[in-house]
Amino acid sequence: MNNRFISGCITFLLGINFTTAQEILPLQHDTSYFKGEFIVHGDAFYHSNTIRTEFANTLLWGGYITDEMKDASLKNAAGRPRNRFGGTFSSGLEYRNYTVNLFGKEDWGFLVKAGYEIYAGAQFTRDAFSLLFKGNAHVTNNMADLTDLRFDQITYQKIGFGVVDKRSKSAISLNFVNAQSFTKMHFVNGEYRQSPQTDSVSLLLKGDYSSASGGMSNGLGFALDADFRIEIPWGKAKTAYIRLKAENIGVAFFNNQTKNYSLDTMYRYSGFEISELTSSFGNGNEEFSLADSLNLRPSEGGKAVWLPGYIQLAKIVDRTNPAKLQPFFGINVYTNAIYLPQVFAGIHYQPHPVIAIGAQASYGGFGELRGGFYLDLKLGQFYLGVGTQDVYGAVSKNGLGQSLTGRITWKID
Amino acid sequence: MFFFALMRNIATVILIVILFASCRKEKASWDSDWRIPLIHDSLTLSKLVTDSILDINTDGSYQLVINRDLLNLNIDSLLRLPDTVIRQNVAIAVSEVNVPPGFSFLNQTEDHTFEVADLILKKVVLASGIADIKISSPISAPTILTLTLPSVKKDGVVYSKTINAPPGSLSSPSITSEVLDLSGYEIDLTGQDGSSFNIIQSQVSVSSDPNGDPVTVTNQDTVRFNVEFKSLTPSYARGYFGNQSFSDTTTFDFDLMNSIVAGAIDLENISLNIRVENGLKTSARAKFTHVQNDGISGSSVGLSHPELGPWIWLNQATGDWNSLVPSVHNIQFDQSNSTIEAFLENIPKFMRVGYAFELNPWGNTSGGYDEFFSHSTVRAFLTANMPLAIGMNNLTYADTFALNYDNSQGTISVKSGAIEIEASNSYSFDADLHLEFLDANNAVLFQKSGDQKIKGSTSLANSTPDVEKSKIRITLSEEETSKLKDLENLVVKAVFDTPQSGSISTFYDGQFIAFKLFTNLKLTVKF
Repeated sequence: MNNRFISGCITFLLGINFTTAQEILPLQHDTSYFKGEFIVHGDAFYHSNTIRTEFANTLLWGGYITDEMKDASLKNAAGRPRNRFGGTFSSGLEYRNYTVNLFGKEDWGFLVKAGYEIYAGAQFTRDAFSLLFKGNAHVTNNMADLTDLRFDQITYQKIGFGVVDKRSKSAISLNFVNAQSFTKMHFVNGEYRQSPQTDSVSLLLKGDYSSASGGMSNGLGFALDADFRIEIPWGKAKTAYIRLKAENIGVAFFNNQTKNYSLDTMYRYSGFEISELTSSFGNGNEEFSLADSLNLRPSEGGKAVWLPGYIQLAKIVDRTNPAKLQPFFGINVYTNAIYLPQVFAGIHYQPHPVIAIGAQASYGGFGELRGGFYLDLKLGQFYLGVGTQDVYGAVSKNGLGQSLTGRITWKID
Repeated sequence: MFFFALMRNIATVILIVILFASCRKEKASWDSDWRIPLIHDSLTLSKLVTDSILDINTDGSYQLVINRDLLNLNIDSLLRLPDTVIRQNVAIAVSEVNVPPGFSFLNQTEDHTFEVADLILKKVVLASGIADIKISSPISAPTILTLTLPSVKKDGVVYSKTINAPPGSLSSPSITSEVLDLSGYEIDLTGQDGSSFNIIQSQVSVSSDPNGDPVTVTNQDTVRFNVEFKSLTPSYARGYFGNQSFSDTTTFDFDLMNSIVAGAIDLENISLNIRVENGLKTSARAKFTHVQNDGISGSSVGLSHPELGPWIWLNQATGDWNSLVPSVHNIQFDQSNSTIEAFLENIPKFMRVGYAFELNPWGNTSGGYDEFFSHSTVRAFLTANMPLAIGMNNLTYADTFALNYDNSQGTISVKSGAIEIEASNSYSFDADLHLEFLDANNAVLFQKSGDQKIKGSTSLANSTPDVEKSKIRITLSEEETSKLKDLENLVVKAVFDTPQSGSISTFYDGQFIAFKLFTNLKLTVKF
């Protein structure tokens, strides 16, 4: 609770956080001149191809998960060999200065930024979900497929400094990373079996598990952020901007307290004989340990962990474009095996210079199809944006995710 | 105004989100159902065959074979040799004499009495013991002192010790000491004439140093020889060991029965024997003053038999060291000549046997030629050899297990559950299971019973009885499970009954009670 509270407070100090969505507010390219800008953003989302919002919200925010919630998600998982659930929480603030000429270059300004990042993703089979949430009494055909289970989680903070091109607003920055915690699990092969009367069970597991947690820092690292904007011809005598964004491309080096498990074992169990129980009690070994039975012994040592890099290639909205309707589209991906490439496309409508709205559809990522919506306001020097990438998840317990994102930009004349 | 209002609203949303993220009001939780095999085992009596408690008859039925010592007295208990000191002081008879070098001027043999009260000992062989020898001499020149114990021999060699004593004085005599290990020594106690008893001889001599100067010795120069026999343990003795009587009560705990807390049994074809052996080559008599037990119900039952109470005359053993044959007297108990059935059906937890023993009740009738050997014993030995056939009526076995289960903490806890037992029983008894859940003060939190009995075979005397299958369920509600946080002890009770009242089941090799115990648990996960 304390760690969570501290994390929350730090997040608050670093900037805004909202409970949903990654970067779906189309970054609006602005070619007009201003001295600098101050950006505060907060993005949070979770998404799944299986787990319904009602279930996920209860899991995340507390409460009792009913059998109906489980069954609804299990129904979604039926027929899918792999299911995914994941989300991120990202918040940060950034200051860009366009008045200085960095390294004597007229086109180069500088930026400084700080951020707080949480990434979590899981890949699982229907059987694994059923075993975890319903128990072995509900295992069908006395077998549960536990193959290719993955779970990745990492929490870190970053502080960066970079160069920004005054004209194109392209930027590149190098970040110093404080690695707070991580968990990485991958069972390449796994299977649970039980006899029809459940008088014997077996568990096959082959894979690796690593984890480091506790305290505010368990290692250091670095990450590169890049944001390139390329002007392209668009229609008759018009231009548009393509953005290539790469964020958190780097590595965290966790310290020697990292626990690493490597597992390649088959455990069979059919109960104890009375003599085994009495001798165990006689020796004072009252506690049964599955880890001992699996001969699972952790090794401690440092570990380098790739950060969940985010790459997006998109046609973005041009704020200075007088057209009331502008399309945007693109593809993004996290650099791991759980998150599938996500394509998205949408329309940006700006009826008045002060207000704009947009809608988009996306497919992929941790889930499948989602529909999003956003609102953008220009209030003097302030640009305010708020939106969701998952409108259905926001209003229905039958959704498969939730998303909220917000951004405040202060453009300093 | 609009801007500040908007900012205020955003700030409020941010604060709410942070508070939610930081201080989640309750944990996420869910229930899952787990069926876990806990015990699988098969209980048979075959292990008791290897422990020599049971034999198997030709028809496959078990025969109960019990061999247990009730009394076992050996030579240590019957003959105790006290510590004895012999002293021999020697001096010249004249007032003064001048002794030249190498001249023996004192030589004396003396008989001493071994203080063994009214025992007559003619010969003993010692298993252990020591002789603590001290010699003091006031003679003012070096002397040669010799101590010989002519009746103390080992491997046919007489014990003799020669010591070179330094000069001494009347006020400060020279002291020489020696400790002799008497293990294996044979002591002839018949004296110089060979017809006495309790006599041990010593012979001492004093000579001047052959390499020294002449020495003047007076009749005041007394050389003192002191031999203390200590901690003597005989391995053989001959003589008359007196008219010894002693009595005692020996007790037995039947630990196995501590777990039987109630009920009754019915036995048949009981055959019990107490074998009394006399391994001493002396006459004796013995009697059992009382044989009594305390049963599981708390009541005491005595065993009566014509030979329990009166003296039993025991002839002396025959043979020699290598061919000793004890005399034997058997007391046979059965339903017709004793109360053995009622005695055993009281299900004894504790038994007392009072006995008396008298050695040489008619005095010294052997002319002092009684013999004890190291392997001579007086022994009472219980043997039981009877079919293992028992009728059981609410025979209740209870055992207590220390268990500590705090269900209130941790990520995973048991919400409710059931214990399920699948049993296959070919024994001819039913078993009813009961559980008592006790707190630290042994107060009952709650009790549970199986929803049915483990059924037994209905065939009472059949070497290939039917196997009865049963499925028993003991369900724990959520309320009961919540009380498990106070659990400290679990009492497991099994109540056994043979199928018809008064019937007796014969136990056969190959019978078994096989069972699988499952726990069906509803677990709550909270995090």
